[in-house]
Amino acid sequence: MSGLRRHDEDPRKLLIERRLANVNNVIPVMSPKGGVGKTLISTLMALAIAENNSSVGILDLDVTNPSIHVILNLDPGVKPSEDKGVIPPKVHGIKAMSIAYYTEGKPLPLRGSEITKVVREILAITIWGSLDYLIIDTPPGMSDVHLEILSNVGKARPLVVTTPHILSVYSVRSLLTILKEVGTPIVGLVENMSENPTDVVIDLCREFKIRYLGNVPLESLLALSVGNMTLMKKTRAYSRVAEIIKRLSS
Amino acid sequence: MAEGVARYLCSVAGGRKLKSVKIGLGELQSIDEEVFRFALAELLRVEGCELSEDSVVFVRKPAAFQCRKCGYSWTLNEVGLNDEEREAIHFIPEVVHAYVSCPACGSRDFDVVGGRGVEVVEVVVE
Ligand SMILES: Nc1ncnc2c1ncn2[C@@H]1O[C@H](COP(=O)(O)OP(=O)(O)OP(=O)(O)O)[C@@H](O)[C@H]1O
Ligand SMILES: [Mg+2]
Ligand SMILES: [Zn+2]
Repeated sequence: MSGLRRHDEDPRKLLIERRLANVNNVIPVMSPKGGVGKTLISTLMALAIAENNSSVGILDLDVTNPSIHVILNLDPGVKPSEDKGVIPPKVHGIKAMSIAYYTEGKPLPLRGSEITKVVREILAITIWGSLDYLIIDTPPGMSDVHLEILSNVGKARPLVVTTPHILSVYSVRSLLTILKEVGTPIVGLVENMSENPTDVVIDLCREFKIRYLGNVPLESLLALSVGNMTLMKKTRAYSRVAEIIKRLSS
Repeated sequence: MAEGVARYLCSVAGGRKLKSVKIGLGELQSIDEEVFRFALAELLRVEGCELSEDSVVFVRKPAAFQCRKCGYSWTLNEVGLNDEEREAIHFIPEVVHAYVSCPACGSRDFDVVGGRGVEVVEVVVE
């Protein structure tokens, strides 16, 4: 067929795959329930991976409410460098990418269609190079960001976070159902804010045939350590997540 | 961005020769035409599908906004942006919502109705 054609397909989609070509593990951290610890667990995972001398990146895709830069205490003066794309700066051994580099702390309310465009843009412009792991922090819910990842990042293998509370477990069940329907393999489930593994969460893992990766205790020091990586690495939560990372890579 | 367009054009060409392409450049992404033209030609060569530089036509698309709260329409001329803000918007056009609000009612809930980024408008293959 020759001649004229209208073009509605997005050229950026073709770039995304290439940008992630040398990333071995792409792990979006997900939970439909808000406030269960996705962002903190994402950060602890990235810290533990870096400590293990593996290469790691973290991508904050909670684009209307980013907070990874606050936890990592990023210097507002440090920005990604540009060379046919953007190269995220390395902080605490982690290549960190966030929309916060571009908003100067101003609020950014976005409609769903715009969130999709942002996610696609960030995935298309960010040059990760080779990485053992890319951890992606996602917003609560099952919406634009998650669907964009599931549809356009073929190698994404989600990690699901829940608390033992019935409302969180209830919501996670629908997330697991959706992931199962689209055939996306799940690396496993982390039970946060829990001193011990609980039956209700273990049963859920059994039911969906996914790995129970471990529990992370509720710990006030963890909340206090935001912005202070030295302190954060002294928490029990960090040790637990480090064990989970060992388990993941074995 | 030229890389994505190059890959896309090659996938459209599918082995045939590209005769001409028309590319829309949105004001928000403020892409330099000559740099883009050069980069695209280079990348197309790398992808193994050639197109002479003068067969690429650019159309400039001015940025246009419409408020979802009060319906007011405006362009970038009506709002002032400094260099850092323009640069941030160049990378991720949607961050315009951090720097611009409706001149009539102050809402940040507006649509970018034109001039967002790079789009392939037309491709002619032989
Ligand atoms: N194991 C824990 N012990 C103590 N506090 C915790 C723990 N995990 C998370 N928190 C606290 O709970 C709050 C929510 O954590 P976080 O922001 O990581 O959750 P989230 O799932 O990313 O939230 P959102 O859904 O809003 O993105 C924070 O104040 C955090 O400090
Ligand atoms: Mg969060
Ligand atoms: Zn208005």
